[in-house]
Amino acid sequence: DDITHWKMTHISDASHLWHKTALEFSERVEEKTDGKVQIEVFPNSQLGNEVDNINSIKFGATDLTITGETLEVWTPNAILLAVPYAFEDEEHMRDVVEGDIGRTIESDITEDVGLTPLFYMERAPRNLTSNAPISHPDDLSGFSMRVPNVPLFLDTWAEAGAKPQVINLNEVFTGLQQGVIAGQENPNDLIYSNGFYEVQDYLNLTEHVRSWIYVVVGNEQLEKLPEDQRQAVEEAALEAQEFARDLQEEEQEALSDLLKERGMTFNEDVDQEAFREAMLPALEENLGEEQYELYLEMVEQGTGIEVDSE
Amino acid sequence: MRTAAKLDKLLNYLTIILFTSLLLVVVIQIMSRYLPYSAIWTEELSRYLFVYSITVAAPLAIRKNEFIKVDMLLMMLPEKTRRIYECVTYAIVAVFGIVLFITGIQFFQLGLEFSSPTIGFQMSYVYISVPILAFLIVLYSILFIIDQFTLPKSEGEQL
Amino acid sequence: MSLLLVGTFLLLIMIGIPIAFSLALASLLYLVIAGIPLTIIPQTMFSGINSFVLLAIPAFILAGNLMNAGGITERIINFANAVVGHIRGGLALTNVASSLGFAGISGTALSDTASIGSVMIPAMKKQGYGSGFSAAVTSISSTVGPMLPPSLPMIIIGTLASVSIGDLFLAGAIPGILLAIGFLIVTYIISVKRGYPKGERQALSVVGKSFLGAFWALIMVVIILWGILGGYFTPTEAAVVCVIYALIIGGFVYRELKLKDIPALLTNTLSSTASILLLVGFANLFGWILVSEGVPILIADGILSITDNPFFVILLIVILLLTIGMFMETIAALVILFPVLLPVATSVGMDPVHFGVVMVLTLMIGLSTPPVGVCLFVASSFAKVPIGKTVKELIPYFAVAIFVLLLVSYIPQLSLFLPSLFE
Ligand code: NA
Ligand code: NA
Repeated sequence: DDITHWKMTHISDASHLWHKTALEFSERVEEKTDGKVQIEVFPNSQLGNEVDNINSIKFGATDLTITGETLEVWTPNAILLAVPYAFEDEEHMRDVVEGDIGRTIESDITEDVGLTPLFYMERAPRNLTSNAPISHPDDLSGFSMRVPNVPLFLDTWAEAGAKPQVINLNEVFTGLQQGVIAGQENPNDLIYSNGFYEVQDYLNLTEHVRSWIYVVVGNEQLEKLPEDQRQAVEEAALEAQEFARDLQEEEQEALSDLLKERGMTFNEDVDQEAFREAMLPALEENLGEEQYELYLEMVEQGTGIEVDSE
Repeated sequence: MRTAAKLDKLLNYLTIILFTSLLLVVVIQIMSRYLPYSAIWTEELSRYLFVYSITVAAPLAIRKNEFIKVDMLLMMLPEKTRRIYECVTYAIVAVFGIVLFITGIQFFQLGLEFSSPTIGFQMSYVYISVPILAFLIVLYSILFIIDQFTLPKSEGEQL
Repeated sequence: MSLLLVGTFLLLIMIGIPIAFSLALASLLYLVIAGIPLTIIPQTMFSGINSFVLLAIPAFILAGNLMNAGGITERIINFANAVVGHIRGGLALTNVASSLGFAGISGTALSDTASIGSVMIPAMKKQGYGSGFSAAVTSISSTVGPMLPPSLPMIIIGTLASVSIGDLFLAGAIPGILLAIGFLIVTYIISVKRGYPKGERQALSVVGKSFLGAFWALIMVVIILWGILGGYFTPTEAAVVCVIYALIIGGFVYRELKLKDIPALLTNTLSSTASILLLVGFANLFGWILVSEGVPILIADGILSITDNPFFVILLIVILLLTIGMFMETIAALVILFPVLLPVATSVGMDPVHFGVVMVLTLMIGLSTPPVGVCLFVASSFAKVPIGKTVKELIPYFAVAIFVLLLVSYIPQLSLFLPSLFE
């Protein structure tokens, strides 16, 4: 038959926004191609971790995935998908992602990795959780915390004064419960889905990283589609992007309420500017020259507030 | 068979070195929690050392006939037939080893395109463990088959 | 298509192809027919073993072997013998009691079978216990090992489901002890019926002395729990701590572990665990295919479509797990099935920790069942007895194990009481 069956894999659980958006995208693609392109979605790392998922697309065992700054090891500019204090707010981030810098990163991914970004999803900002409120970098002294296996994150938190260590996400809950670590940082959705509210008292609104993530398809897989189907896929992608944005806004509020309900105290009295300044030196050290320039450009695109004052 | 014995010895040494280093890395990881120095590389390095420990130790398991199998049917055969049967088994394993080698090379090539997130070296240095393992599986399957014809009866008796 | 995969796999293991390669070859056949690129083979195999948590397998087994060489196993057996050796069937009872003691230092049932079996099986045979019986007692009693901390299967569950490994460790304790008591009773009844020998009653001072001898071994479980619950190391790291501990106790306290013996211990441990780990790698490949075929969802939907009555859902899960345990290796079964069955179990109100205990217990029983039972194989080969003979002797023990399994499945408090104390 002439029906294309695509497999889409990702690492979030089935209740996550990414999965809901993936299903929505899959439905719209099927609708718009009269069932000629069918996408089956596999959540929860069922078919592999993020690197596996990317490799699998490259050799053709699967076709789509959801990925972000992990792509940095293939194409350096992808690190900008998750850098500390690059954006003032969501608006600022959208401008950058949909502007020149966003387009540069997308074409890098297409050329260097062999994956075509179809649409992006905003991620909730990362926040720091702890058992005592942390409002200023000064509060970080002696604070042992978990960071993901990203050298940039490790260095920025070390620079800010904490004692960060890399622990696999699987072991974080136990680590927090038993006190191997005193805190961790993640977007609110992951703080909730990993149940960290059970073992952490404070959610400090550091909002230190705002990032976005792409739904990508293999270049070869996409090129195999006839022109009309490809267009249909791209249309569906734009609609899915809208869908994800609306859902994200809705869920953010609901999530905050849920986390508060489960006993987390939101520390809103966080000196983000102080954190930004404390982290900046590590950023300059970690980013390549080109990436650091792009970073500064991203920051400058922010409207309203002057960022390079003082 | 002298060469085979030397190869065994080499793999034994590598196993000891790799696994001892692995234990040391984990000890550093535990201790670094109490030292001012954060060792970011321990998690990643210990995984790769682990993969390589398996790569060099698994072929030895073929030689020692340690791979878990259901031997109820096998036990019913007379010893001579059983040896021939086991040779056929490992001939099939060797064929699979060849498939794993060829696909392992493709896998290795994927590793040429990116680097490990923390330590920063090309992932092909890690991925090449698969074709190496495949090569050793083929080699040791052949050695296993030769053993069946050359070893004295008593040794073939165990397990 | 998935029937072809599973069918080929079963056929291959029945004709004696090593399980690791049966998984690989069945998968290869499937991939070729389905037209899926074969590069998925090295990738899934690599991913399956590229895991920090799995490092606990060789570490725990090495710790067990070091303990063995360092005279620790012997001391546990001496202590057990001093306590129960004078009862009829004393040596068989000692075997079970040793497993209970050894549970505190070994993370896998296999290392328990191998360590205790290497000492106890020859001793039992010499005293006139049947070969099949000796192998059966050794194999089934090692089921207790992973129910008590440290426990490799519990660690794996903890990482698969983000539940506290400390809780899982505590939750397995009462079921593990119930199981040991059940095995002791069966062993005693059989021994009386067959008139197996009994040893001399030991003076209290001898019992005390043997306890001191075993003290450092028994204290290991305390160190592990203290380290994990106290936040000094993660459960995976605990395995490495066990190795260091075994080195120190065997080398400096008991002084029976010789430096020159260590290299051979290391390579033997590594080659035997490497064979298990390759199996884990290829199980990951096999699992990849099952998932991409949608089999886990079929199973989950299948169970819930038959019934949504909690009593029967739990029964179905237990039967399914027992069946799978007969054919599959523990770790592979855990990795593939725990994520599939957990939502089914929680949908009928089971606590994840409770379900974890049930799953581990079931799969541990599977280690002694044919056609694929690692402990059964190892114990039978130590006793030089055909597997069929061991299985015949195992039947009353299976009855007890399944009775305990049903108790644990339907009385959640047996698992959840101890963790609740530490809330
Ligand atoms: Na144990
Ligand atoms: Na079994």
